[in-house]
Amino acid sequence: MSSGTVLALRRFKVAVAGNPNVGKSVIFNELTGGRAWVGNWPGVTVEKKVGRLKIGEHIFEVVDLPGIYSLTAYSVDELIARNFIVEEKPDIVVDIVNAANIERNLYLTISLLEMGVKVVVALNMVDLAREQGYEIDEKKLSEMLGVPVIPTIATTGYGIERLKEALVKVSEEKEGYRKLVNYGGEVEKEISKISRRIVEGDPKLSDKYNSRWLAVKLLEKDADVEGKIRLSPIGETLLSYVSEAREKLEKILGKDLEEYMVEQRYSYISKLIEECVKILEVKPVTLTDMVDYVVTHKIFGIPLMFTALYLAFKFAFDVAAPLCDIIDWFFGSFLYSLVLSFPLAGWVSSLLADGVVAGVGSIIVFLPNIVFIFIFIALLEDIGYMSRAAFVIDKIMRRLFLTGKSLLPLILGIGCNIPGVIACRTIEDENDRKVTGLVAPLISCSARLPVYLVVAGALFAGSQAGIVWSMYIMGFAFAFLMAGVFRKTLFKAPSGSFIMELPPYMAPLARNVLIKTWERTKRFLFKAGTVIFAVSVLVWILSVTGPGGYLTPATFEDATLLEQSWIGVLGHSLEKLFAPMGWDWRISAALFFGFLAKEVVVSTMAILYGVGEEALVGPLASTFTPLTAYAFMAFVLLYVPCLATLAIVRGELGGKYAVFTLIYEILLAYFVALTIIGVGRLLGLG
Amino acid sequence: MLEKNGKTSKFSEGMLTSVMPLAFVKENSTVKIVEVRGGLGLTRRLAELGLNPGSLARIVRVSPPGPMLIEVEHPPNSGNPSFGRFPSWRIAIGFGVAMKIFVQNLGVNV
Repeated sequence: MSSGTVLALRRFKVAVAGNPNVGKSVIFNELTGGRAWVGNWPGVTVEKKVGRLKIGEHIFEVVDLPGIYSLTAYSVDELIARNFIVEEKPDIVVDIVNAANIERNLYLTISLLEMGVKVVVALNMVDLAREQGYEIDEKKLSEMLGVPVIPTIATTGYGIERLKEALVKVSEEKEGYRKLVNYGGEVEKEISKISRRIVEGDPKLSDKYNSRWLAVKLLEKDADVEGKIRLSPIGETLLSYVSEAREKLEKILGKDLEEYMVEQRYSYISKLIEECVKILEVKPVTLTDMVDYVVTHKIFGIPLMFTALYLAFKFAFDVAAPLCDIIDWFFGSFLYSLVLSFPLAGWVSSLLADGVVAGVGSIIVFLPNIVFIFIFIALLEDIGYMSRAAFVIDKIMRRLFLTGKSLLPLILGIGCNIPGVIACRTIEDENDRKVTGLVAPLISCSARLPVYLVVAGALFAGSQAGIVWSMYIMGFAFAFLMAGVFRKTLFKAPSGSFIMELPPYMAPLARNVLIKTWERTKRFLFKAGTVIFAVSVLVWILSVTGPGGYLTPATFEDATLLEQSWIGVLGHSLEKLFAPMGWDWRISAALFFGFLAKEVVVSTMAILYGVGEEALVGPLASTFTPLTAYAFMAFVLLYVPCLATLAIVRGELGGKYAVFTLIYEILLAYFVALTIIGVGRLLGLG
Repeated sequence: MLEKNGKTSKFSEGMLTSVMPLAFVKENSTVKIVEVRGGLGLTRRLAELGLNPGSLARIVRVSPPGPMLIEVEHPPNSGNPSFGRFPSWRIAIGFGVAMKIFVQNLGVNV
């Protein structure tokens, strides 16, 4: 590069694709340095992860696609990946191939190459492949496929530099379609005929898509490609020609044409394997064999799952406890007195101390608990346990006309309901997906946790862990129950098919777990800094003012004065609604604001009782009885998802479903809380 | 049944075996997929996971009427005996799906 010339930056769109569980996100993180931003996929309000890689004058915008097995879409997730590759036309696709499972992974590679897209193959987990006793000749494979094949070990960063070099090299190359799979004389003849008809009849279409690929897909009855052709002026004639050709070929071959074409691809893959893979030794019994034997056990499988989750939580809480104390001291004593010691106007220091510090502080206290829960969920995902949990629970889900796949979104929901609802995309069956999305907000998320901890701490000292744990069980129980009810009434249809790959167990990767945890924690901190901050200020303002005008911060010291504030008015009008449960006007007001974010229930109570999180114990112990407290916790668990979750339900399922979720959850929560009170009184409790 | 022979090779294809739904096969048996009697979608999905006519699979875990865990040993057309222990992978299959997959039971593999 001579000095003085301006660097001509060149931009390329790169998609990272591959089967599920091949280390895709790890490679994505390695390529983009772990810095990704989240955008929306065109057309749908669904998040997409984008990162950037700059090498010299090349700028690669890297998009992380959901895992796919082929370019045929079944679930929303796969549809996103397919549409991105087919319609957005990335300049290069980095195809992550699991070397320890190469035979099956190459199916996607072949599908990509057939489409005519430029591909770089990352042959990942070569260490694992060698451990399992085979060696892959990547030079030979690269020669046969006609694309770069780079061996990588994502977990150690091995091969990433070479992968980047390959990206630069490929970005300079012209697109070149390679005919890899030969479907045999008669079929090939028809492919060329159809392809020629497309080129001659609709050049625009063949400019956009490779015509041979279109022809192959048409013969395979690909619904999406058929749809594209139908829009073309040559559409109807071509489609009827194709269906005649298909009939003719099926007669000659004596079998289903699609099945035949899949077989031809596999037989090509077999040829690749034969040439490129050497088997070194006989496979020993693997760790996966042993662990699966225990984990998927007929009797122990389900108890084991709950025990594992319980221990994870117990550990998370015990480790987090001292950290929580430090944060509580920082906000409750240090910062609170510090703010009050500043020479500020009375109302300003009250706004800061009684509003912001008390409100936001009461939530931040639980940051350690929440972080540890996120870490555990990321660990369970990375190890490969989640799909085993889905396996053991399938038996129960079947009775509800759902499949084990619905469990994963629910477990993710423990961290936060938002990723839970989003994860429903991986469910292929439309009814299953909608039902799971509707009940996912019933799972107890980490935002409810502060409420349980504060209330249980005040009224169930000593048995807190059990009480809090019962809330999680209740969340799952009601999610299952409602799912069963919805599936049998609103979404009556035969249950979907359960087919799911169980990846081999892997040691979790610290970096990956930390990135996931951080992404999720960030959302929590953001919420604390925005929604909770804003609501704290709002609650403070509504507390010091009322129908009679400005009441001064003295309201926080004087309960009768506080009752004359706007918040007092609001609380009192809601109080009647909650009278059967015996909750007072402060709690009613807290529940009202809790709709914005569930943590706000605690921060609002902290402000209204004029104390920090720690000091809530006294007032709460006198407000609640153990029975009304338990009903309150159940109510907080079930009533309305938070605003953000509701927005996601709307994005994923539609506005109608968001409204439905809102209404059914309020009714359910009210009914459950009343039942708890009623049954408790009958039993002579409370 | 083939178990009578004691150690049955999983390549004893010439022997007398009947075709049955995968759902009825016992743990540790090896089967050869004969036919998938499902819609186009199901057939295609299974093919992507390497389960199409000709594939060999080992039943790792059954839990009727729950799902079964199977290990796909190799897809069809890799007739080369050296593929006998080629990369295998594990799939969970619901009972309903397992009823639609018809297999030839090659017996318990010791």
